Amino acid sequence: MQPPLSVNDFLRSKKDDGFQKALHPIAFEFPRDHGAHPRFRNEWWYITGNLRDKNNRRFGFQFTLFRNALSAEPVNSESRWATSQVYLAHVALTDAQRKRHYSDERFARGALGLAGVDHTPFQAWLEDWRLVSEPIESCASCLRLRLEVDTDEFSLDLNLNNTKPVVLHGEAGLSQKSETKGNASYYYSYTRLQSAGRVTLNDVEYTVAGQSWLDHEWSTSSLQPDQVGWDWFSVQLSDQTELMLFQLRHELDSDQNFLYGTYVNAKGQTKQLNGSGFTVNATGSWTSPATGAIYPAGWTISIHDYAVKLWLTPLIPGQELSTSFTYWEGAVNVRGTKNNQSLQGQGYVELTGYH
Amino acid sequence: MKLRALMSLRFVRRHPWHGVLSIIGISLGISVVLAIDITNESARRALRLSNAAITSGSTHYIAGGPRGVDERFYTELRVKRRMRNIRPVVSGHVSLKGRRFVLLGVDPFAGIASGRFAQPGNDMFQLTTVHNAVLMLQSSAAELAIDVPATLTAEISGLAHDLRLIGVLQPENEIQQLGLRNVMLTDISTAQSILGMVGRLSRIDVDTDAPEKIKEQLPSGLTLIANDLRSRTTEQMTRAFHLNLTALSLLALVIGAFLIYNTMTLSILQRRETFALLRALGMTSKELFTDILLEALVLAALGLLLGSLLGVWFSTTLLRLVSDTINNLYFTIDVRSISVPPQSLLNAGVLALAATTISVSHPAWEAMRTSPAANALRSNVELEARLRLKYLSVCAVCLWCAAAALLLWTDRSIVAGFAALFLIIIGFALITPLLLLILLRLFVPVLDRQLGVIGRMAGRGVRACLSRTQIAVAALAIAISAVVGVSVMISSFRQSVEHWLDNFLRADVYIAQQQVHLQSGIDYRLIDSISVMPEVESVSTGRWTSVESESGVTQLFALDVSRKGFRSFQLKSADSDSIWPRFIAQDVVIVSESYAYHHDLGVGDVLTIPAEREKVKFEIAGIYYDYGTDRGVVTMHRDTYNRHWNDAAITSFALYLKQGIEADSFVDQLNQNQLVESTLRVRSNKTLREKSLQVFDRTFIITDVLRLLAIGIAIIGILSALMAIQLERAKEFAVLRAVGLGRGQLWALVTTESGLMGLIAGIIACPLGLIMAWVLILIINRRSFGWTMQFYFDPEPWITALLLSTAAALLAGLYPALRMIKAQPGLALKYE
Repeated sequence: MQPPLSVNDFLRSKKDDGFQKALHPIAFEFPRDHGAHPRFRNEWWYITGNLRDKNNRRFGFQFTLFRNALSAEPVNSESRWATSQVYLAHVALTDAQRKRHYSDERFARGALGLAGVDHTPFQAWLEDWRLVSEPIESCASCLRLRLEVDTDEFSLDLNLNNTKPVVLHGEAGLSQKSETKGNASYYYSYTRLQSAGRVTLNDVEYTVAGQSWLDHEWSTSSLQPDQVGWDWFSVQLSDQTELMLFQLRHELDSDQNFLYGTYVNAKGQTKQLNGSGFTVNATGSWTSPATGAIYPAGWTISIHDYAVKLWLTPLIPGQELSTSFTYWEGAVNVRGTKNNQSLQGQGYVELTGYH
Repeated sequence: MKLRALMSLRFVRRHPWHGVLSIIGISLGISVVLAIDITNESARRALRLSNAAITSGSTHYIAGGPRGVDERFYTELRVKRRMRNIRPVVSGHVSLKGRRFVLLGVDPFAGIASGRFAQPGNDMFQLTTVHNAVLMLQSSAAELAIDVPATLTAEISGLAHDLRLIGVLQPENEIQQLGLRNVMLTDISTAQSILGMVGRLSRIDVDTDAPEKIKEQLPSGLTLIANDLRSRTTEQMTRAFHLNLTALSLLALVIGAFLIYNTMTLSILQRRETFALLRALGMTSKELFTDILLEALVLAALGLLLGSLLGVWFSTTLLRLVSDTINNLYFTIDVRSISVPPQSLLNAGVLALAATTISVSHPAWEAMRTSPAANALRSNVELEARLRLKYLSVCAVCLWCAAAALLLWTDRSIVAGFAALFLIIIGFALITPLLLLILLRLFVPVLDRQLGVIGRMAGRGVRACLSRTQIAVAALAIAISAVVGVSVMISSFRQSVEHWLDNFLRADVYIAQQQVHLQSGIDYRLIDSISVMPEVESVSTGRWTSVESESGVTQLFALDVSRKGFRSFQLKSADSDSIWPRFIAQDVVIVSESYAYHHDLGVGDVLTIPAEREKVKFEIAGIYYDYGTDRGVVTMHRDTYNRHWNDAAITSFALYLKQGIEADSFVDQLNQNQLVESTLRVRSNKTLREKSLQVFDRTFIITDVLRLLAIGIAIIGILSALMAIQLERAKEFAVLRAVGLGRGQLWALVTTESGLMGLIAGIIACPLGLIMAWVLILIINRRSFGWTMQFYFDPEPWITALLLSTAAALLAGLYPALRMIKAQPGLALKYE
């Protein structure tokens, strides 16, 4: 069967009629903006993280809830099933020791309580997969999350607590995806979530701890017709700094790739990086046996202003999601130098649009 | 061998009608059997395909109460109980350009992961967001001359709805392609609002290999049902109907077999001198037997070929009639194309060869058995025929005893019923010679008195050629009796239904929803406004619904009725007044006769029905006559229903008008003032009665067609048989002419003989027809449908039988008589 969906269907639409666009910076307000923004076409809540059990066994995990509005106007019907909001969730687990990658997905319409996102308190769910916040009265900037996901092969039950404040990417959260006005998203992250809980894989339970990353991004049109895909990097370094970088790849000319990044220092202050501020070079490649797509299998990243040089290596090469969209999303090990001091770290990389 | 083959061929060439008649006999019989087989198979196939397409290959489904499944329950299963492979469905019927479609409302997003109804591209998304969007097969759109996309005006429960055909369904294989022919796929929200089912689901489809686990989690009021069980029960619903058609078609084959038997016997008798010569020249009896059998099988093969072509051609006509009947009686199917399963052709081939072998083996055995010298003598044959009388008659009585035993020992088997019927028929065929002799003895004196010497000669002529005449008379008698039997059955059935309708339809005006799937029911305000009209004396309301359980679907009728209205139920054993107090106050139901029969239930038995909160035990207080459906109905008082189901919907109501108010004009008044919305059907007592009988008549068209085919075969049979007999006697007639019998006298002799045989066949057919009708009415129909019918005596079929058989026989005598009187006696003598 042909996959019913593709990234293009999701992110590049022919008609933007009636949808709001990310044109100007807005004043973010939490927890309101943790919730859904149904007047925009696309939205996602994205958690990735690196975990270890007490025997130092490594796991990478990903949980994503996508929201897609099929039309800008709410559907007018007396039926409670009627909605224009559709949700899709992806979950994946990388087992570094066994070199295995597991994934699962679910679809549901945003109706009848089958799937949805509320802001106060924040909770996002698709059927029984849920990401729920525990509000803490005394601490406005604190985020306490619990992620519960159960699939046939594995399950995650994790508590995620932020240790650094929210990071707004781009111009106060308005993240351009090309030079064209409106080809942008609203985008913020929690770059360091202290994570602890249980991973169950093939009926064996592991008590795990580690660091996670939360992205929340919404937009109406973020891809240009000539952009074929993107490489996205999140890196958590041992000096308590973080790095978010993406490059949107031009279909013909890599010089026309659109690069952007955010550097977060140990205190949580941010520095925006434009295309001239860093370089990303792919090293090696990996061919997916399932789809035949050829992905990069390692990267060197240089950030000129901070004299940072990083080598990123996937935990295992095969971290392609065999879901309705095909893309690569995987945990990476990071080694590097900063001002000639050695650095370690970990992160997550997302690769789309490879064939 | 070559020489022997040439001899057979030469005989056939000199007597072409022998061959032609054998082929006609076989081909007609086979064509009817094959046509019915193809029709039955095509109908079953259509049912299976549409079931498979609509259930989207799921293994089970969750069914709810009268109002379907509460949609909130679906969320609970998905979110709280973590059930994955479940899909909500809301479905109903839509008619578009005169064609009936199933409007199948699905949640495409629930189906994506399991690959159900997933459409590539954007059609699927648009289904959810475009108002009233639907998808159908490209081929279905093309058949209705619709270009995609298009706005269609479809009728749903009498109301016009604009649907937007936004794209085409893309079936994954040919089976889906066939099964989806009459399916319009839509989003579940569209289906809910168009079908008036907001908040409810028709069912929840489930894929599971552990049904027990799911059953444990279901709250009361919901049932998990296996899809193969459902298709089995739907197939079982029509099983009796298909079986009846098959049996009727086999009757045609039996008559056809008699035709072969008749012509083969004649052709052997005619060649007895040749055979005697061959035997004297050293041909073994085994060789002779083989030759005769081979000759017959060659004819059978030709007949089979012709019959197969005819059968396929017949089946296209029959298919429409059969699907009409199924649509009237059971459920909607759309069978447009016939498929000719190889198995059907194989069956037909085996039947043709078996029928031929059986019918020819006796005459061939006779030819083989006799000594070369004796075989030459015709008188020996006649002598033996008479000697066999006793033996045949004893056999006949044995067969009847076997039939009686079969009927006594079996209680419900339809096959046993038909087997008994066939035993009775064969028994009659065997006893025909005896009856023929007895009747001749009675008729000869009368003929003698009326017609003098010609009459006497005619009577004795028939008796003298007993070996030939008995077969012709038997074949004609059986064919005619089949006509009588089926006619009496249909007319008895019709009168039973008329009588029942007269009793049952006591109200003056009936108002009902056109489709029961509308869960919302009739607007109460309408009922209130009509019940206060000055013409209306009282109103009774009803709720038709069905409850699904693991054992199948139960039709429920909850009736808010007065004691007077309750009397319209004709109870089999109890009287309605005596059970009335319990009917209104306790968990007591009355069930229709067919329900009681199919579920083997009697008065006092307890019936368990899954109600909204729990399974409830109802006591059966009475069984009532009902010919409305053969699946059966459970009827309870509205108060009883309300105690167990939280459902106030009313789907029909009946008006009792005040004295002197004419029902038809009151209906006109309601319609003219547009008091009743178009989703409702308003009918006066008289119109409803007429419509019901029209449905009845339409249902029996297929039976009528088969009856006509049987008559056709019978007439051809008798024509051929009598023609053969009379032509064979050319020499005898030549002698008579030579000794001075005038042309007029010869004419009179031949036609009297023929007419006499026809009349006797008609007389024998009367009791046989009566017995057949009796078996059909009291055994077959009861076992098939669970109905008790009154046996109504109607003289018309009997008179028709006598006239038909005599007329057919006279017609058959015409040609030989003409030939005889034109023939030169000298020449006839010389060449014979």
